[in-house]
Amino acid sequence: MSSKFLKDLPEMTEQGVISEEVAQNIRLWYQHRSAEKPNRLLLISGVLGALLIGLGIILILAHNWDFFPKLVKTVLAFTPLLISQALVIYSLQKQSRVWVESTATLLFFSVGTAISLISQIYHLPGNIDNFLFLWILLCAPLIYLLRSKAITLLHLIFITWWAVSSGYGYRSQIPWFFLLFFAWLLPFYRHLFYKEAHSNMISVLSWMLPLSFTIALGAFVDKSELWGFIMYVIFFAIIYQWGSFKTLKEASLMKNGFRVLGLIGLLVVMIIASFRGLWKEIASDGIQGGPELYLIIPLFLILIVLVTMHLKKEKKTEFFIFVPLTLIGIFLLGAFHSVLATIAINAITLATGIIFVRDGALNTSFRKLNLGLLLISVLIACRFFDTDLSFVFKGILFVSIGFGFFLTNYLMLKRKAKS
Amino acid sequence: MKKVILTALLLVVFAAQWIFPLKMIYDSENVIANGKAYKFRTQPIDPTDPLRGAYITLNYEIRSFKTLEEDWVYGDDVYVSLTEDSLGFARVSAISKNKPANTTNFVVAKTRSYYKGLLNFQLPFNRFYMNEKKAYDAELAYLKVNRDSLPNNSYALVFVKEGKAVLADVLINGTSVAELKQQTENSTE
Repeated sequence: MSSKFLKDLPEMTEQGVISEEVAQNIRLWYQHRSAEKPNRLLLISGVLGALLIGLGIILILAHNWDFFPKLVKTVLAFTPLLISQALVIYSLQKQSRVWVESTATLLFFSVGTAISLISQIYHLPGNIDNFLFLWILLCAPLIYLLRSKAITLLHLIFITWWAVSSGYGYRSQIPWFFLLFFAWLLPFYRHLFYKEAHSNMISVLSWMLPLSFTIALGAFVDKSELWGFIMYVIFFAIIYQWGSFKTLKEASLMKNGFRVLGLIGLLVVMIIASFRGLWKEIASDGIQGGPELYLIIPLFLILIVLVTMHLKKEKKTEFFIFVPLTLIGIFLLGAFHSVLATIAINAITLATGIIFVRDGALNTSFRKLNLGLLLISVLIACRFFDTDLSFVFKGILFVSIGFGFFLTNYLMLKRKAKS
Repeated sequence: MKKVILTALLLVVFAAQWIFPLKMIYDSENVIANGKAYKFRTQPIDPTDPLRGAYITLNYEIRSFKTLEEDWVYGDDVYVSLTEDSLGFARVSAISKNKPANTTNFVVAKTRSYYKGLLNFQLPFNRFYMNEKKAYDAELAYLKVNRDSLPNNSYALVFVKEGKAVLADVLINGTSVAELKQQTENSTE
């Protein structure tokens, strides 16, 4: 991108688009920027190479070379660890980001190799959860000590794997440690966020952080469906709020996973909850205490703080901020009265769709307009499953929605062209 | 100064990365050296762990015991005290929710179901890691042996000391499963 732009500079000055001075400034800016950044391609290939080597070593050793005596196997288990620890020290002295990231990745997998091989040699009991847990624990400090982005991403992937493997399934336990592991990352994220808000790493984390939590959150639901839904509503509202703060909101949607995942998550919950069957179950269970509350209460407090901050800072309040709070109210109502809750959730979903369409039309935002239309059509399509309407009526409704999509977009395009 | 602290912390983490696996070795070697060896009758099958390689899962004949204690919760620890029968195989002498005071020869198992005074439990040492090429053969060998001769001829050799247990070997007809393949190859030649 930059080289193409730089190539055009002489032509631009020749034709008087920009002055020679401006062109010179642009050249200097690019030079300065490339000096600050390490070679990105080298960095990525270094980390990927280390990742493949690390995984390869684990797999080679997993073959179980049973003709080696125990002592040889034990020495083999520690060799990669020794080498990669030495390499990490060397790269710290060399002060090269590429080296630090690559050797840190290698060290991460060497730790896994050592503990996996020792468990293999002594046939140690324990499923993959205990093994992953120890691995995560032994590598977590490296995030801060080496300031390593590669380890940060590996940590995030592995804690999600651990939460899924230990928290889901028959007779599983709530993976409370996931919260600690996740919180461990946050100061580093904050540090990066202030230091390099527009970097690729921040974009990647803005998707991976909420995605990891979304995947793991289900494991915190013990028995109560009601608390499960409320937990997800609060979590999606938090990430949506976070993504709506100025620095993130100004970034493109591709770089704002928080806002996108939060919005989509909330809309999906609304659609799922629009079915009558769900509310019958929730009403029959009623409100019960449960371990979910230990998570719900702090999350709710975080949400309240974020909403208050938003209301204080932003001049124009988005209506969507209040949707999750209303949803929580509807879910609590649902524990007592399933019919009222069903009507309320359908009404608020429809209203959200209509407001999106209206906002989209007013601000000439195709994205918002079509999101609103999509929400309304999905809601109507879902109602076909649990209401008794004739096929002709359903057909006519769909044809009109189709026309609606076409017409609104067409009209708006025309208006945009005029203005 | 900051650099010194960071380096010191890094060295602590590096040390921990050695200490934990080394402690795993020490604990296991300690049980093998000072523990008592038991033979547990088994029935092997072979799955794979994505990172630690192929293994055979061992189902033990010891998996339940009559008890007067109630209120067993699935997944809780249960202390299983051991003794030997006349043929030298492991047998349960008692089970309890608390650590037994009168013996060091016990293992810690996980409770499964409880019904009418009979508690089912799972012994922890149920994985025997093997060379990936041999795990399947071990299973076949087990099936063959069981089909054409007397039952109860495969067992696991387990060292036990104060709740800790190290699985040392699995033997079928007196031969270690790791050597079974070679043996069958030799016999066909």
